Amino acid sequence: MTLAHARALFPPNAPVGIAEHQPERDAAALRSLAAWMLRYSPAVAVDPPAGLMADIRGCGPLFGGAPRHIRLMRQGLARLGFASRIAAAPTFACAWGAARYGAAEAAVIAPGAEMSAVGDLPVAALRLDADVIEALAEVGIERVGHVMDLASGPSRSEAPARFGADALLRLDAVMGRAIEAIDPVRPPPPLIVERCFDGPTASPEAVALAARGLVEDCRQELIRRGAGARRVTITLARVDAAPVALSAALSRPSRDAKHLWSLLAPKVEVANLGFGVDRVALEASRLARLSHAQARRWDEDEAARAEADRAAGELVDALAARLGASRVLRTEASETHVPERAFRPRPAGEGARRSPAWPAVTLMDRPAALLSPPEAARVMALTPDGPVSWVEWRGRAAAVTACAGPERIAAEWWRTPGPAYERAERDYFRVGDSLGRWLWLCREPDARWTVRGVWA
Amino acid sequence: MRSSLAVSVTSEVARRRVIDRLAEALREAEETRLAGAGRPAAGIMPTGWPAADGAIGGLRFGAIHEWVGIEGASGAHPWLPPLGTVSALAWRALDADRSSDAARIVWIGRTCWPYPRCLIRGPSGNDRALLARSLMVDPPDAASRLWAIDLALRSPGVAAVIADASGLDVRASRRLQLAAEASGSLGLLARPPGEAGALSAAVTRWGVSWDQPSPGAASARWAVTLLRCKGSRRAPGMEGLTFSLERSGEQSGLDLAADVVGGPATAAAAPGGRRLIA
Repeated sequence: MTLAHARALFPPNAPVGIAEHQPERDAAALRSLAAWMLRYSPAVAVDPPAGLMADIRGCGPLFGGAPRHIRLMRQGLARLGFASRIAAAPTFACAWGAARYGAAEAAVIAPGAEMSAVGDLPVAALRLDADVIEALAEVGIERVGHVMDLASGPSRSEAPARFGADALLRLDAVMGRAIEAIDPVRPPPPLIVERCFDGPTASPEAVALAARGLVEDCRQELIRRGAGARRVTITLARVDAAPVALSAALSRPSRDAKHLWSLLAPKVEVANLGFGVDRVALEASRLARLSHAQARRWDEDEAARAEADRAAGELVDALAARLGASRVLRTEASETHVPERAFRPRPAGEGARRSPAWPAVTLMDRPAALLSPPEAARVMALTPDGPVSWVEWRGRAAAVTACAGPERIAAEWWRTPGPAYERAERDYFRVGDSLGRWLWLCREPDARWTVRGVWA
Repeated sequence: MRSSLAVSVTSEVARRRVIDRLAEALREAEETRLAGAGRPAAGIMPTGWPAADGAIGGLRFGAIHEWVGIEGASGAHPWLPPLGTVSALAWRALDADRSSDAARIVWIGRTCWPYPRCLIRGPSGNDRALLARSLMVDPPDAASRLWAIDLALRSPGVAAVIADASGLDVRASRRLQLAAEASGSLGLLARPPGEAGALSAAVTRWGVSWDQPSPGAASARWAVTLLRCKGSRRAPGMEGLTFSLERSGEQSGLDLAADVVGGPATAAAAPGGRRLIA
């Protein structure tokens, strides 16, 4: 289809986005999909333009049989947003044809049933060149079964001369009489550097020195790969006990040896070396692309920004390494009007998960300090539902000079139902008293009064 | 022939000189960048409150400033730092840092975490720079809290550190003051009301308390007292300066509501004011 043809299919003035087809990006995506498929099979090969070949021999028991194995693959691919057709067959050629031309989207072909599975399929299921298919069609050979008859009939010796050797060869591949091999993708090897000692050593200095050297080796290797690590793990192989693994997580990819070592050094120093360590290994995992950047010295703002960003990342790493990732947080707004849930803490080391399109937040006045748990208060009002006239909080009572409210905030009924009162409505009042305090009073559903926040 | 040769030699010498000069300029530029990381070494951050800025110009970078207030602990309930005031200052620190646009504001100690709504401003809640650049740290004990404040103050990627400094002794406060001096960052340490008289190395100490309500006031007002101020030449005897703050319409911005209500003369009345200067 040409571009002009495609445009003509749309109503005039319809906004049409046009993107050039980039076959090399398709191929790259297919390769990374093949690497992803390695979770289902040890050997996966790309089959351009849009196919993957996986050798699942022996994998059946791990996944509960071939039908379930295929179903898991299809579910996984669907989660990634791909529609798939999968066939499992004794030979690659048979699976190729059945997946593309078979009736079912997921088929399992038992050994010996190759011919019955592909016999009725068009000749194209043999993966032949277009001119061969045309030449076969001229003499009325349109189904794989016809090629089969040709191969077993008396004219077999003439066939290669008329249609080329390919047709019969492919048929043999389907039947398992010819061997077909695939060229599986290989994931990049994990980045591991290690040093072995001549004999076991229990000297912390020696181990630290070796580990420091490994960080330097790791940096060289990361530079060579143009990558930065988001996780580094040092393994100390002890002679008398299980190896110790010491790892540090980074908030952004880095290959700065000094920074990596500052995170690892405190852990190496206090590691239990047992009766001695004879091997130290360092693995950098969760690699991310980190390309070379020319120092932009003349752009002062840009340089200061990059410097501040890097320093902030290192601060997060250092804090998280000592306090734990769950104690170093950033805040995300979330799509709710319940004050306690409107903001969610997230580990600062993880990248922002949401897109820049922020959820809306309530713009109502909120106190600077939210009390958790809310504190009990004693309150008097002249009329049962009227404004508050007197309040006692933290042992000090005062007359109310200003009262705004109620602001009624209903609980979210669509959440998992909790205790009955949790789901009811709360009335909030902004109250100023004669001591100058400004409190966010709440009348709970069970008619208790609490202070939920303070304009501190 | 000879003269032309001489000319070329001279131009060679001149060129070498120019190259040397350029190399020197490059080296200098490189070194200032490495040393300073883009921040002025000793700046003053205006608070935006005319009474305070008129008296001492603002809060000095590379120093720690203590904020005492606003409710003490009561039974099992924790004390409450003056979060509205320090959040307003956090916005000022962020505005002062517009040049790098990436430095973080670090809040250390769960008591000092503000409700994040006051980290958002603008008529439609669209200015979330402070929310996006805030880092909340929750150290499990006092020792690691001190360590975290020190580390954050020393980091060049931090515009301001706001921390729970209850129970801070004078040695620890000196350590923090040195850390702030080393990096030029701003430390705002909150302390409970009971510690208004504690010794410390902080450059200024401010007391925040509830202000007397005025009839018809629609939102909270605080009385801020400069309890202590050192190292600022413009402010001899400014301790005791008292003024009121009121939240302006835009949340988290604090506007000065009343003029100076108490000058240096009332300093003796301020709790712990004069005693500390002696």
